[in-house]
Amino acid sequence: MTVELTIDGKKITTSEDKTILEAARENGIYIPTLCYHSKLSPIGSCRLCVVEIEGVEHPMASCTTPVAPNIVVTTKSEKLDKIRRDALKLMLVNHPLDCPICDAGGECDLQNMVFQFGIDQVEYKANKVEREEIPFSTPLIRHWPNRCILCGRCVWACREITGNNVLEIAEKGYDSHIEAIYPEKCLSCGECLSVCPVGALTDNLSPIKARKWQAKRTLTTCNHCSVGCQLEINTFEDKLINITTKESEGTNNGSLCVKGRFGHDYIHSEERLKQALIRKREDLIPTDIDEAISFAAKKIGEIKEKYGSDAFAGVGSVHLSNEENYIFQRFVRSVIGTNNIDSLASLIFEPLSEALIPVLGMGLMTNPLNDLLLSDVAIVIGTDLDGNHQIVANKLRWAAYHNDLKPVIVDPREISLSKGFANVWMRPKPSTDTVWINGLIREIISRGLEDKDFIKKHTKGFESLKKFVEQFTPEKVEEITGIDQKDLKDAAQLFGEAKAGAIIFGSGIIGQNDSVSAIRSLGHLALITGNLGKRGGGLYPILPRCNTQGAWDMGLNPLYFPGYQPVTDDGAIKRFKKLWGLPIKNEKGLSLVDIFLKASEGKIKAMIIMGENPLVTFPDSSLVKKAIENLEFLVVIDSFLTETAELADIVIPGVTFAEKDGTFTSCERRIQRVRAGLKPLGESMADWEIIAKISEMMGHPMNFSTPKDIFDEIAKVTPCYGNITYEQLDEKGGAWCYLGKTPRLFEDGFPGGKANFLTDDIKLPQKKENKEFPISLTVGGNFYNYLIGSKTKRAKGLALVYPDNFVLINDEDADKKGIKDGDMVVIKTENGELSLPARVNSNIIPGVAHLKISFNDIDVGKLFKADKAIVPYKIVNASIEKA
Amino acid sequence: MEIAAKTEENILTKESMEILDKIISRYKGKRGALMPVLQEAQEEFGYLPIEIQNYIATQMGIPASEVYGVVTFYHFFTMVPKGRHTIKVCLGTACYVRGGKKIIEKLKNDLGIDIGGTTPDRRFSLDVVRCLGACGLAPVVMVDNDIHQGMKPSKLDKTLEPYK
Amino acid sequence: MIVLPLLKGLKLTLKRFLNPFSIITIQYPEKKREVSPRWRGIHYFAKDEKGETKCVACGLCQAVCPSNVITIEAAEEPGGTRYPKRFLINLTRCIFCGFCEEVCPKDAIKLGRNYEFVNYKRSDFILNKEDLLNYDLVKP
Repeated sequence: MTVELTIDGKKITTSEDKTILEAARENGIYIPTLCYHSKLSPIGSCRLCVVEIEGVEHPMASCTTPVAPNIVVTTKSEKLDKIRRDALKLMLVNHPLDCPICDAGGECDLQNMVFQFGIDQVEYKANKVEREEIPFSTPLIRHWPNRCILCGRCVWACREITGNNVLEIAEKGYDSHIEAIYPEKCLSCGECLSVCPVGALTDNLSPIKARKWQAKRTLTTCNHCSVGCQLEINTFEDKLINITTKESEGTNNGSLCVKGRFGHDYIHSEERLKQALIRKREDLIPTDIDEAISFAAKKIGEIKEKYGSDAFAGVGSVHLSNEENYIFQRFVRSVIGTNNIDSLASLIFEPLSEALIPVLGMGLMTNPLNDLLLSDVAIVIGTDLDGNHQIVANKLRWAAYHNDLKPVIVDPREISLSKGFANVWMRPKPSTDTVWINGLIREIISRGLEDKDFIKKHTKGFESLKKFVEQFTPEKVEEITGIDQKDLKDAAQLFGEAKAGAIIFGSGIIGQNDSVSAIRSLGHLALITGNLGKRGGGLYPILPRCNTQGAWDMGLNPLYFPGYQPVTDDGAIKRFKKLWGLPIKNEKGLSLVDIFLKASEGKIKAMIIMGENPLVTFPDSSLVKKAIENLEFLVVIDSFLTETAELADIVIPGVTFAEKDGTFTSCERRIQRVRAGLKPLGESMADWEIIAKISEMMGHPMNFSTPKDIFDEIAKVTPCYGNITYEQLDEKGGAWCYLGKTPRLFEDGFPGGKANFLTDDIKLPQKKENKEFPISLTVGGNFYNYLIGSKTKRAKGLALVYPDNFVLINDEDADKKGIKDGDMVVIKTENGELSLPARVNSNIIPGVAHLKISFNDIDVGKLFKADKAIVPYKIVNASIEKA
Repeated sequence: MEIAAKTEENILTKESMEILDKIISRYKGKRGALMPVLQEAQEEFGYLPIEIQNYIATQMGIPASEVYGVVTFYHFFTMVPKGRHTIKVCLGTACYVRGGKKIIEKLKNDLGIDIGGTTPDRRFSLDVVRCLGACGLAPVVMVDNDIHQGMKPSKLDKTLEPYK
Repeated sequence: MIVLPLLKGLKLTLKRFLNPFSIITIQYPEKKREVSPRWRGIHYFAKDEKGETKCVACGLCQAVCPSNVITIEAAEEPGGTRYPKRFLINLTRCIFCGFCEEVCPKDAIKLGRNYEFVNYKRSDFILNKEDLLNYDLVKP
């Protein structure tokens, strides 16, 4: 429905759900505001946006007044000006004029308004209220109560964007103030900080401050998780001051999580490598970087000569740029001449590809994350979104608030989304996901809620699926998984009826036993409900690190050249041979697990590890240790002296994401630019330069002078990145890769014509009593130390809010063993043991324990064993005893 | 992120939960029901500790912080226990002119408490109101729900006597 | 026609030349010129009770400076007060307009009356925070 109205003599047509303010802004009519924020629902506290409406006695706040047909609105008049000036003056009665020492000085909305209205003195005399300083909910944000103008934006942001309701305006009148009422729920995301119009909330991390006009703001892509948030690094005199973000940039649209906003101070850590290190006898001695590079080149040449190129392996990184990973695989494939190259991305993509490619033709996130805003139902499985990918959780909350999205949360642990937010919360036993997913499919089919048209038009083999899922009755599902029958039925009804249903799953599914069967079943679930190639539907595998997708795309794996061209394909070999000018091996290389297995047997002699710390991040640290000990020569390129680098023969200092250019590909397949805001520290250089130099020293110059040159070559040889230019990435804020380059996959059908239901390979969990190791220990990343181990320990701000690791145990299990909250416990698995403090409560189901990974000092990796291609890196059988 | 388990002793007993449930169920599905629910809850328990606020919030599906905001906003609600009887002395214009101030002073002296305070034996709480709408009867003192008109400091002892 | 103005000028010259009280040349450096109270000389920092700078590193002088002479690095103390961690004035480029003094909300930076400032090295003309507080050097 449209409405016609007149604002300032201008006839305006707009939709009826708009407010007067929105209608005016759309048409370029300026109304001053202070408390209004486009991301929040109207607050109506500042009274600056008042307008006069003909026939209405008093002026109305335009931000809260909806449009009505044929009203005549005036936005500028003497009366309104007086009201606005008075409103500002009343704010100034209590607002201290400490602009010179206020962080917001120069970008303060109140300052701007006062300047705009030309207020140079306040005639109101009143006793200033001195509000006492009370602790804020997080140490990362400083609260200046006297500067607060009580606009309420922070309260609204905490309620509507993060959904945590930590803040509230307490008391009334002169005593009213912002108070952190439930500080224990605070995620430290800093949403309140970013919406504060004045300097009442300031960044408490860096003691060095810079004004808006002094700081250089560089728009770049966050290097923590895979969501690919766009953020601005604010630098001054080559130092990082703080992180800000911009609305309308990237999928995060002005929001950030605690890691993005406060987790980048590691860039200036004391422990950063400034010089190359070379092993002389037992010690690593600082040396000149050129010398280190030429020594590395010489030594690699010698080893290649002596043992052949297959005695060599390369491990790339899931948090380096596409360009770096591309040049690395080019170096390993052409200059060294082996396909023994891999990265941690394979731990994720091996199961994803194996499960989904036969079914759908592609094992990727199918829809952009913003589609979640349009979903009716979202099933979230095995991922603590608030803890790890808060921006995704924010989207779900937005949809629940504005769009009535109904979340179904599946997690044995109690996470912040499960209670109070979820419509249905199912708590399956670990590694039984295949059973309940198929139970859900059966329930949907038996209720006749499947999308019959879609199945007929786009799929094959539905009958066999129907027959296969017959066995998964709700009773059986309850028996095996422990999920209440009613919950399963409710979930089936919700998801079956949904117009658009999204399935979000994380490492809880990808990293478990029988992950392929579970993921494939999820594919079936999306297919029978017709939720593919559709707005608001889709499969959303949530990847861990910033460039997991890019590393896989760039051919950091033993089977494919960049863009999934098999290494055994003659045409591809010919093309790459011509481009790279060197012979290329025509056989599959070793996968990451095999690389370490072979190295531990002494069959791999040399390795380059670029930007990765497998001793902490690979799920079998004892294997990695043994492998590295048996190497003859190890080069590590990293910005820190990591645990792995300590064992290397040569360590070459790389740079962090803030010091280099390039691109990351986010989990939603969006290629986005990384831009340098700082100069490289000391002698360190970008990893691509190091690889190019080694190659040059070995007699094969690569002729790249900037990352742009590398990207141009990528665009030329990688089909899914084809026709994308660097300029395009700069202008449009990113580009989508894959399938016709639309953000949504399968909109024009499936690659093979039809999708397949494949039930033959679905394995069911074997019920085994494990007497010795009765507890299923699940591990997970965490917001604050999330899988980047070495970095966040050096991020001092994050260490403040999440200092230590612990193991979460159910209280019943703990009672049996006499373990109390805070006791030290010993965790034993077949492969190793570990001792750390326990936290005992009922947030987790009996028989399961949970542990965070990537705290460097606690080597969780040694609990795991890696001996096959698909490593269940998320779950292991263990016993827990009191220490 | 794990939600920290509340370990402190719970004021909420099973009985009080039932009482609250009953109150909330009466207002189920009505908009703006928080105020009457809080009112009745305060009548029932005498005050609204944070635990009761939390319970009401979860049962009504309202953010707990919002409940806290409402409770601290309205003068009527209290988060600390009040006395068995509340004395409200009117200090509106008419009552003030006719000696409300003196009554307050006397009460403060006699009970040994300040405005907003509660006697140690929990017998009385003392409060000030701005107008009870009974200016013709000034000065007015209200004890619980009874209005006492034409009050004088000398009459106070006798007036308060029946309230044990 | 041409001679008359010439003679007029010569008359003034002779008058000045013969009158010893109208000599305005000062025997510098033995004698020094007394400058006007509004003279804008070398910068200095006003001190607070503790002898520290009053400057809170708000950055306004840096913003207003027409010749980009000032560099400030602001730092916040745990108590919330601010101070300039680094404060540089490059005198070789300064045009002594006095805008910095005028804009300073804390009256921290001032232009003194000293106009004698010589050094052997250009780098010595870059005054830092300590120099600006060292009154023996800047001689306000």
